[in-house]
Amino acid sequence: MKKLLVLKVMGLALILLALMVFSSVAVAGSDKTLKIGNTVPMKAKEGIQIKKWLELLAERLNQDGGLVVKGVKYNVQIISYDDDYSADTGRAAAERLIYQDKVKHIICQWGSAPIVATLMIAEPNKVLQIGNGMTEKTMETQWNYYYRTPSLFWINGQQVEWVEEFKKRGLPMSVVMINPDDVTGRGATKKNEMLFNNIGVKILDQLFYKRGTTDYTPFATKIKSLNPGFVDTGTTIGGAPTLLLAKALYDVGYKGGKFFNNMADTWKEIVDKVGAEAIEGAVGGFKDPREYRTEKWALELCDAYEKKYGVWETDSVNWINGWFALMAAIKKADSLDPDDLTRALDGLKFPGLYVNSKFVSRPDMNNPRTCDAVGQQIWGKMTNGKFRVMPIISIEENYKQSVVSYGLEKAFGLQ
Amino acid sequence: MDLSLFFQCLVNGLALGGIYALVASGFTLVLGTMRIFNFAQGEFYMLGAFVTFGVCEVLNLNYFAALVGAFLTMALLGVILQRFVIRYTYGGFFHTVLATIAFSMIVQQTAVITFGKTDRFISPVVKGRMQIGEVIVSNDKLLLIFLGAALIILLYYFMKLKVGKAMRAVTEDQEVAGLQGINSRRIFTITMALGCGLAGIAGAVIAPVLGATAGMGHGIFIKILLVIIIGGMGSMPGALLAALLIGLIESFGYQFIGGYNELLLLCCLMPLLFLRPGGLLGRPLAIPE
Amino acid sequence: MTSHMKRLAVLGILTLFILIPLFVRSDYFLHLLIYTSMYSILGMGFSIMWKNRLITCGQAGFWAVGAYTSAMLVTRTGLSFWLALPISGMASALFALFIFSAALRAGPLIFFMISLVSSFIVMEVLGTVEFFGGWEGLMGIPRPSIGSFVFLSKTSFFYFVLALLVLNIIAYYALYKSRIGRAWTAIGSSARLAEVQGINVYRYRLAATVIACFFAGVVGAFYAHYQTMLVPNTFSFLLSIYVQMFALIGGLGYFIAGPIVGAGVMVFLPELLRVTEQFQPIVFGILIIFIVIFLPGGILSITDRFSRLIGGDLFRRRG
Repeated sequence: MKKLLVLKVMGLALILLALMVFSSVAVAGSDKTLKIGNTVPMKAKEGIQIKKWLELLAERLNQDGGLVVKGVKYNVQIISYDDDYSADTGRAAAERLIYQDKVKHIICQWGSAPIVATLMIAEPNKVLQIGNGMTEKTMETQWNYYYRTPSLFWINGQQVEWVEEFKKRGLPMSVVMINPDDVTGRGATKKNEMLFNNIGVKILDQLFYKRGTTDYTPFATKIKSLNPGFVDTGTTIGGAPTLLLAKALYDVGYKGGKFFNNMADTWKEIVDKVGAEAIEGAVGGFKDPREYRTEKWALELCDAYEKKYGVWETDSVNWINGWFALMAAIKKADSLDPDDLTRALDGLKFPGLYVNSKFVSRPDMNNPRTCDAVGQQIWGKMTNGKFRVMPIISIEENYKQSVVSYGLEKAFGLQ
Repeated sequence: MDLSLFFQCLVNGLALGGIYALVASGFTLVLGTMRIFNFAQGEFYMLGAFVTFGVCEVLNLNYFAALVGAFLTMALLGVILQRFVIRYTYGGFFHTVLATIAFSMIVQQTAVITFGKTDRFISPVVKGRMQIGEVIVSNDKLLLIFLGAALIILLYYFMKLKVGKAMRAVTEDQEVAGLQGINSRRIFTITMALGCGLAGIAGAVIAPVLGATAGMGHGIFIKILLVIIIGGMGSMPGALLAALLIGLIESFGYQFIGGYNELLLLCCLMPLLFLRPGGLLGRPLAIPE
Repeated sequence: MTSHMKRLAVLGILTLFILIPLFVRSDYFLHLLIYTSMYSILGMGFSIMWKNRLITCGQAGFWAVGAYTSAMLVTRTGLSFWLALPISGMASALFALFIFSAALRAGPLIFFMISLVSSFIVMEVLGTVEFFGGWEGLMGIPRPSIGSFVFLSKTSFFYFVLALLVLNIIAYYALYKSRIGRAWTAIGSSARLAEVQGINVYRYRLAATVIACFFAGVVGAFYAHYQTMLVPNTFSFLLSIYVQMFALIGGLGYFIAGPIVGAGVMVFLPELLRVTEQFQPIVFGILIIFIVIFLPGGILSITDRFSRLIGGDLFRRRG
C-alpha cells in the first residue's frame, strides 16, 4: 500500500511537470530574423485581412532582399495572434508576444480594447506599438511608445464635408448617433459629439447597441420617432451590422441622410438584398485604392494581394498604415531600437497604401510627442445605386477642418 | 408614441415572440419529457438558419424547401446527439448537461471557423413594406408572424395526436406511461427530433429577416431561459405565453427604457423564480437525484 | 496508506512547486501557473457544492463580485489591498447568501437555474452600469504592496497565489475531515436520508455555498490586482462552464485534487497542442464528451484503476 501511494503521487507529479515543461519551451529564432508582433480579431474580416496584408508585405520585403539595418540583413517574420477584439484575450496575446516571442515592435492592431490591454505591458517593456484605436487613452502623455495610425481622431475633415453635403441637400441640421456599446463605440460618440456641437448640428439622441445585435428594429423605430435630419452610425462595422441597420431604417420608413462609415464593401449587398432606395445618398469612407491611386508601387501591391489570396479585399487597406510607418521610421533611423525609432517618428511623413499620412502632436492633450497621424481622406457617396468616389481631402485640409470641428483652434495654434 | 411606431413595435414583438416560442417549445419538450437540459438548442437554431442559406443561395431551391430541409436536418442531428452521446453518459443529469454544453461548444466554434463569423444573407422572401395610412410595416416581419403562427398551430394539433399524447404521458410519469404500453425509448427519439427540428425551422424562419450568424445560438439561448423560467418548465402553453410576452417587452421596452430593458428583465426573473418556481403555467420539475 | 507517507508526499509536491520559479525562466510559464492556481480555487468551490449534490453554474459571477469589489474599493476609496482582499471574499459570500438562501429551499433544479441566471445578470450589470466601468471595464488597478515592496514580477504573484491555493487546500481539507464534512458526505449520498438522520440539510448546503463563494471572491480580488484591468466579458457564462469542467476533468469524486488537475489540463493542454484561441472550445468540447462517455470518473480515476491493477488484484476478478 505504501509503494502504491508513492508510485501514484510521483507518477502524477511527473506527468504534470512534464506536461508543463514541454509546453513552455520557446522556439529560438535565428539571429537574422526580425520578429514583428501583431494581434487582430480573427472573428472580424478586418482582422483576417490585416494579418494577410502583413504577411504579404513581409514576404515581398524578404523577396526584395529583406530589411537592411546598419548593414545587417534581416528577414522579417510577422507573429500574429488572435485578440478576439477583447481586452482579456488581447492581453494574453500581448503577453505571449512580449514575454515568449520577445518582440520589440507591435504593429497594426485593430480595436481599442486589445490595444489598451497591450499598452499596459508594452510600455514597461519598452516595446514600440504602432496601431490604431478609437480611444483617446492611448494619446495620453504617460505613454512613450505608442503611435497611432490610422487615427480615427483625424477623420473629421471627412465628417465636416458630409455635413456640408447634407446641408446642401436641404436636410435639417439635427442628428441621432448610434454606436456599438464598447470602447470604440463610446469613444466615437464622444468625438462626434464634440464635432457636431462645434459645427452647429443639434444632437437629438445617442443610442448604443450591444455588439452582436442583429435586430436593429427597436433602434430604427426610436430613430424614426425622433426624426433627425441625418443619422450617424459611427463605428458600426461593415457587413451584417451595416446591412441590418440600413434595412431596419428603411423598413421603418426613415428618410433622412445617413453616415455609413463602413459601407464600402457592403453597399452592393445592400442594393441587392434591400434595395438601392434604402441607401441612396448615403455617405461613407471609400476603400478601394485601385480607383483613385496612381502610384505604381501601390497598384502593384494591390495586384500582388489579389494574386496571392485569390480575392481582392479592401477592408483593411487602411489599417496597415502601421507597417509603412514602421518601415519609414526604420529607414530614417537606420535602427531597430524603439528609442531611436521614436525619434525618427517625430513629425514623420510617410506613404501608405490607402493614403499618405503625417505624425503630429496633440497639444489638446498636452502631448508634445507626435503620436497621432493625420492622413488624406477618401470618401464616397451612393449615387444612382452606385458608390462613387468623391474628391480627395488633403492632409492639410483634413488637419485644419478637424481642428476647427473640435473647436481646438487655440490649442493647436491655428487662430 | 404615434400609431405607426406602435404598430411597428407590435409587429416586431409578435415576430420575435413567435420565434422564441418555437425554439423554447422544442427546448421545454425535451426538458419535460427526457429531463435533458439541452444547452445546444441555440445551435440547432443557428444551424437551421445556415441550412436555409445553403438551400436558398447555394442550391437555389425555393424557401419552402429550406423550411422543410432545416426541420429535417436539425431533427436528424438532434437524434444523433441523443443516440450517440447522451445515451452513453452514465453520470446522470450533470454529465448529460455537460455533454450538451460540449456539443454546443463544438458546433458553435466549428460554425464560427467555417463561416468566418461573417454573416450570410438570404434574399428576402417578400420584399418591401406595407403602408396603411401612416403606418409602415415591413412585409418580411409580417411573413415571420404568419409562419410562426402557422407552425405553432401545427404543433398544437400534433400534440393532440396519439404521439403527442404519448409524449405528454411520458412527461407526467414515465413508469405509468410504460404500463400503458408506451415505448419510452421511441418517444424519446421522437421528442428529441421534434425539439431540435423546431429550433431548426425557427432558424429558417428568421434567416431571411436577420441573416445567419454563427453567434445567434448563444443570443437566443438566454432568451429561452427567460421563457421557460417565466412560462414554466415542461409547459408548452406556458412557453408560448411567456415567449410572446418577452418579445413584446423587448420590443416596446427599448422605446421607453432604452438599454436597460434587458437588464431589468433579467432582474425580474429572480423574484419570479422564488415566488413561482413553476413559472406561470408549469410545474417545478425535479432533477433526478 | 499511512498519513505519514501522505504528508511526506504532499510536502514533496509543495516543495517542488515552491522551487519552480528558480528553475523556470519563462515569465509566460509562471503566468500559466498563476491561472491554473486561480482556476483551481474556483474549481474547488464548485466541488464543495457538488459534494452536496448541488450543481452551480455561476462561479464566474462570484469571482467577478470579488474582483470588482476589491478593484473599486482600492481605486475609488484608497483602501489598502490587504483589507480589500478579505472584504471581497465577504462581499462575494454575502452575494451568494442573498441569491441562494431562498433558492436552496426550492430544490436543486431551481438552484441550478438561479446560479445560471445570476451569472448572466452579474455580467450584464457590470457591463451596462457605468458605475462599474461599463463594457470597457476598469483600468489602472494598482498592484499590491507590503511596505515598500511592490508585487511586480510574475514570481511574486506566483508565490502569492500559491499561498492562497495552499490556504484554500488546508481550509477545505480541515472542513472535509470535520463534522461538517461528514454531514456534507451524508447529504451528498442521500439528502433525504440525511434529513431523516437529523442533519439540517438546508443549513449545511448554504454553508458550503457561502464558503465556496467566499474563496471565489478572494481569488477574484487577487485577479483584479494581478491583471490591473477588468472587463465584464471575462466573467461570462462560458467561464462558469469551464469551472465545471475543471472539476469534471480531474474527477468529480476528488474534491481537492480533482479541480487542480482539471485546471492544469485545461490551461496547459491548449499550449501544449499549440491550439489557437479559435480552436480551444472545440478541443475542450471533444475532451468533455470523451470524458463524459469513457471516463466519467475523471482523470484521477485512472490512478485508481491503475492501482487496482497492480495492487494485487490481478488474479481476482471484481464483480
